[in-house]
Amino acid sequence: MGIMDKVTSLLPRLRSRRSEPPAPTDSGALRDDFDRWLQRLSDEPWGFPAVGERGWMPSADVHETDDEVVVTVEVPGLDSDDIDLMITPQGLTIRGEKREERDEKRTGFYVAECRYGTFVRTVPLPSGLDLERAEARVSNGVLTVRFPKRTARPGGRRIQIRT
Amino acid sequence: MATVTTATPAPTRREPGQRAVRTVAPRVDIFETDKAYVLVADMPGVGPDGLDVEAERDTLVIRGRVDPPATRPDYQEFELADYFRTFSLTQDLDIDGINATLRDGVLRVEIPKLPQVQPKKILVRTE
Repeated sequence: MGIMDKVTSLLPRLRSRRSEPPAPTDSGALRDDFDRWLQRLSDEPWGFPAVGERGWMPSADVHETDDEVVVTVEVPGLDSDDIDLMITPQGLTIRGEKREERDEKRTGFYVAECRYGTFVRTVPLPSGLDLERAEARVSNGVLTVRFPKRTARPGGRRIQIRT
Repeated sequence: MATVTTATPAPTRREPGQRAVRTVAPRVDIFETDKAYVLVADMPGVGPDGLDVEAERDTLVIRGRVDPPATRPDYQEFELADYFRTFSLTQDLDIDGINATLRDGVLRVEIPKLPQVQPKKILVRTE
């Protein structure tokens, strides 16, 4: 009798668990979860809010009116020097860092809900925006970026039909 | 022991003669230094005019008013809504010495400990 047989004979629960076929629901549930996750990725019209390097990603809202698209991002504690905005082929990329005041001597911590650290977030933009005329401002910890819509559709050209 | 604890945030606040206003509870950090308890609350969208911090005996109430957008977002992850949250305070805090500052949508409330609970420095004399 091998040592493992001895061990399993001493541990009947282990042996019985071993002999059970893998529960079919487990892998099915996992696949369902994965499918749901994939579905969520494709369902998000403005991009899936991915998790940042240190676990935070500011929340964003997007408003669209007849004249403009407005992206609003919650950035408490950040001013214009802490935020970097770029128009990339993927959309509007927002980089920033929320710093914690570390100079004070803390003797105890009771609640820690606020999020700190660096983040990078890209909000996809629809076509037809005048990116040159984009305007951004940050006020009271809310970043607002306005993109006016182009009046004429870019690249739109009437095609004459010859008779 | 002196503490500041979070109470269950009330989801709505009703002003007399008004319908219930939807509020959100701000995220907070609460920590202790030698001389004070410090509460840091993320309240993006709140300016100095919209902030209200009240301490009455054993309760600290923070309220923040924001200018909500005129229309509902087409894509929404957060709701720019008024903030409301209450905290329980113990008796050994100096309520009159509370100091609140607001910067870039972050509120910082410092509640000094009463002198008798502050750590005392003991001078050791050498002879």
